[in-house]
Amino acid sequence: MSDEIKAINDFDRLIHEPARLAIMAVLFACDSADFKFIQNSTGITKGNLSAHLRKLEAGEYLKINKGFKGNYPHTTCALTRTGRKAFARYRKQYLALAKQFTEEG
Amino acid sequence: MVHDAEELILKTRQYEFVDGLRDIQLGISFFVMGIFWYALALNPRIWIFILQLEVDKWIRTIAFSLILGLPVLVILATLPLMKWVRKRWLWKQTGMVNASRMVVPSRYTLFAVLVFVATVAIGIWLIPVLQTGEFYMWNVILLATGWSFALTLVGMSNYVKIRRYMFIGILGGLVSPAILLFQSSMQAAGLIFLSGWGLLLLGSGIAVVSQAWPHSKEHSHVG
Repeated sequence: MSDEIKAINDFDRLIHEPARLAIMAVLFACDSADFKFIQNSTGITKGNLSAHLRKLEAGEYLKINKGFKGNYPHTTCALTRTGRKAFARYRKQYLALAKQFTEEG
Repeated sequence: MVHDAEELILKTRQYEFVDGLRDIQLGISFFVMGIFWYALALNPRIWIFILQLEVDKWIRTIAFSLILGLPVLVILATLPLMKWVRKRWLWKQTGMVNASRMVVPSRYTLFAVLVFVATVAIGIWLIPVLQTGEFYMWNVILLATGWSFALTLVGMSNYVKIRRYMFIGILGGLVSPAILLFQSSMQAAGLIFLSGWGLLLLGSGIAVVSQAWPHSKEHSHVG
């Protein structure tokens, strides 16, 4: 197995799915963000976003807080310490791999 | 995919600064500090006036505390005010983000501290060489503060890729030595220094707000 394939194989599968990677990237750059911002930034549909958020919550990568803003429900999400560490590691891996591909290609 | 993730990280970091309200909040803070601390707190006439008031001691204590503490209260009040405006404008349209506490990476902060210390050290070293005024050291401290703040802004600009902070940082850094011309009055120097920075930041904030306001329906990232 080549080094590149080994590196890809080592990626965190929970983050590796594109929609979840986008969610993690947004939340990595802030303390917390609401559902509306994550949806606007990533372009994921409401239903899909809810499903992916639940998966990341189940993996203990993020915390979901459901509250109310006036009469409207307001959901905010924040990465847990585990999630932040996992994304930092994933980011390091993909940046290293991207660099390797650029140097070779 | 890699490019997209990095782009999302950058856009989320920039979100705190896209509406220009952070610049306005900082600008107001500088102005308030300048006006209160330098025009009032360092003005002996104000202190004499309060001391001469024929009132209870505790009223005098309150008056002194207000002069010293009011700027802090005003600055603290600008934060919820900024949040209030955002709730009705930016966050209402494109969602809410609580920015990371560390807006500037620690390496930039450390570098800014080093520049501050170096400027003060050079200032002390130059005392025998230069013809220094009564408040020379005070002005050197202001200059060091100006340069380290300018560097912080340049570092932040580099980190969040917003060019206007580079411009403000360079301009503020270049103009800061002018403070050495005001060695005869501690008050004037402080007032000019803080209101100068305040003006730069307010100008930048107002320019961004006026640009962003007509297009506020879109999720624009004004740099």
